[in-house]
Amino acid sequence: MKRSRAALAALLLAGGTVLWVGLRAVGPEAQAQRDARRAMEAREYRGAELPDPMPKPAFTLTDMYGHPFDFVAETDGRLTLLFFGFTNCPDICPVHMANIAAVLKDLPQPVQQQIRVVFISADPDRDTPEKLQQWLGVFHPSFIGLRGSIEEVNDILAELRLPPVVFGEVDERGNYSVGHAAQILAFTPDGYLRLMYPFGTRQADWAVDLLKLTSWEPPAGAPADAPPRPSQLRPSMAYVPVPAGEGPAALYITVASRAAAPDTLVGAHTRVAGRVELHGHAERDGTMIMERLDGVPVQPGDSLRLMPGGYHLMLHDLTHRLAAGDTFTVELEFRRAGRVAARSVVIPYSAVERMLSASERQEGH
Amino acid sequence: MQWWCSAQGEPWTWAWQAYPGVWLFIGIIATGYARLLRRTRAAGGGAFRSSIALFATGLLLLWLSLDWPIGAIGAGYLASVHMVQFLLMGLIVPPLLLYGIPEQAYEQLPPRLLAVLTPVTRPVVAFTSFNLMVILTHLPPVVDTLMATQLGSFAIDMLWLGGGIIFWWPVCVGTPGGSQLRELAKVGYLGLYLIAMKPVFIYLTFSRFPQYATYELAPRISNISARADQQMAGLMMEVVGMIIILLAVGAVFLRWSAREARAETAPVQAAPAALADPQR
Repeated sequence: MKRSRAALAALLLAGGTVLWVGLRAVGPEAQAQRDARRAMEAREYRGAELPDPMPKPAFTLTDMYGHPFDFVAETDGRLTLLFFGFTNCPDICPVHMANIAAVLKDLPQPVQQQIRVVFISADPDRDTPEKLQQWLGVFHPSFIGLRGSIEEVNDILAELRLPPVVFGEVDERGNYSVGHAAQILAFTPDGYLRLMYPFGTRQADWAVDLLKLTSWEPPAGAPADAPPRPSQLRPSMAYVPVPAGEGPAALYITVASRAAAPDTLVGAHTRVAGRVELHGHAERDGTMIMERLDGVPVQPGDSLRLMPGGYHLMLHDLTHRLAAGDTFTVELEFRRAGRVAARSVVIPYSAVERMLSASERQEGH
Repeated sequence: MQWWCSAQGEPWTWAWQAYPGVWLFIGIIATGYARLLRRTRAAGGGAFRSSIALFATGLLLLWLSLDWPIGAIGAGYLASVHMVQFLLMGLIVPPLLLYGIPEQAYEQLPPRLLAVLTPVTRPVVAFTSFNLMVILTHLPPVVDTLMATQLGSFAIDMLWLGGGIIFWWPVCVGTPGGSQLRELAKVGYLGLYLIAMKPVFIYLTFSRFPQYATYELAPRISNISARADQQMAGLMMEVVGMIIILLAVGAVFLRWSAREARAETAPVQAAPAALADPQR
C-alpha cells in the first residue's frame, strides 16, 4: 500500500514536471501574450480602446448587390464592425468573420439588429460581387460586403490611420497574397471609432463586448461641453418639392438636438446634386430676399427647422430630373458633430406643409 | 524541419510533410519489441504469430495517429481530430500493444522497468493517474500552451500513450506485477472510466463558446465551425470511448468464459490418465 501511494505521488509529480517544462518551453513570447491577455481582461472591454476616438469616415462604395452603400448613413445609430479583408484569405479573414458570426447568432434578435458588420474588400479584382455574396453568406446573412477601387479603399484606410493594402508577387498559378490591416474596427452607435479588435479575439471576448457596445454610453465624468455626436442630432424625413423644370430644388427638414452642447449646420451633401447651399431669408431695404448662409445654429434640446419661408437647403446642379416619389440620402454637415444622414423624398409642392406638420408631430412624440 | 507535429498557425495544405521524430519513435518501439521477442524465443518461447499481429496493429495505429495528416491536423487545426488521436493513443493502441507482448515476454522485461511498472500499474494508482492526466491534458490553458510547440505536443502524446498503457495494464497484463484484477473487478474498473470522463465530455460538448484558442483561431480546414468541431470532439470522447470500453468488457467476458470452460474440461481429460496409473 505504501508503495502504491509513493507511486501515485511520484506520478503526479512527474506529470506536473512535464507540464511545467512544457509551459516554460513556450518562452517569453507566450508569457507576454498571457500578460497582454490579463491586461485586456482587467479593462472594461476586451478590445483595445482608442485613447482618441475617431469619427466615422464618410464614404460611399458599392455593396455586393451592386447598390451604392453610404457608410455613414447606412450604419447610423448602430454598433458597426468594419473589417478590411479578402475572400481568398486563408487564415485571418475567415476566422474573424466566423467568430463574429457565431456570437451574433447567439445574441437576442433585437441586439443582432443593432449591429452592422461591414466587410470592405482589399482585393476588389478577385472579390466579385457574387463571390462576396457567396463568401459572406456562409458566415451570416446580415454581413455586408463592399467593393471600391483600391485607391478608394486605401483612402479610407488612411483616414482611419491604418496601413494601405499591399499586394504580394503573383505566382505561376496567378495567386498572390494581400497584406491588410488585421484588426476589426468597432464604431459605437454614436458614430465614433472607439475600439479595435486584433486577430486573436475569441468568441467569448466578442460575446462580452458586443452586448456592452450596443448599449454604449459615454463614460461617466465626460465634460459637459463635449461636442455633440451624430446620433444626438435626430433628423426627420427630408422633403423636396418637385422642382420646376431643370431648376434647383429646395429641401426641408427638422433636426432635433439631444446634445448637451450647441452646434451649427454648415451645409449638406447628396449624390443627386452637384452643390448644396444653405439659404435663409433676410430683409434688405424693406424687402425680403433670399441669401446664402454660412451656418445655422442648433441649440441643445431644441429643434432646427428648415421650412418654406425660413431656412432651407437648395440643391443645385441636379444629376437628373427629380420626380415625385424619388428617394435619396442627404448628409447634413454640422460643424462639431460632423455628418448626419437623413432620407429624403420628393413630393408634390402642394403636400409640403402637410408633410412637415406630420413630421413635426412625430418629432413631438 | 519539424520533428513532431505541433500547431503552426499556417494555412493547411494537403502537401505531405515529414515528421522524422515520429518515425524515430515508432522505430525505437519496433526495435525494442523485436529484441524482447528474440530474448523470449531464446528462453524457450514459441512463434507468437497472433501476438505479433496485435502488436503490429497497435504500432500501425500509433504511427497513423502521430504522423501526417492526422497528427498535423490534430495538433493545430481540428479538436475533433485531436480527440481521435486521444482515443487511439489512450484507449485503442495500449491494449493492442499490451496483448501484443506474449505472456512469457513479460518475464524478459528489464528488472528496472518492472520495478517502476509494478507499483505504478496497481489498479488504484493506474486509474487515478490516467484519469487525472486525461482531465489535465484537456484543460484549455494546457492544450493551448503545449500544442504550440513540438516539445509540448510531444509531452501530450507521451502522456496519453504512457497513461493509456498504465491504465490498461491491470486489465490486460497479469504477470509479472501480479496486479491483474479479477474479471468482475475489471468490468467495474472499465465502467468507472466512463463515469470519470463525464466532466470532460460535458465541458467539451456543452460549452457556449470554443474553449481552445488553438482550434478556434486556426486557419480553416473545412466549413465546420470551431464550436461544432469541439462538440464533435466531446461526443466522440463519449460515444467512441463507450464503444471501446464495451468491446473491452466483452473481451474480458469472453476470456473469462473461455478460461472457465478450460477449467471445467481439464479434470475430465486428466481422469483417464489418472485411472490408468495404478500408483496414483
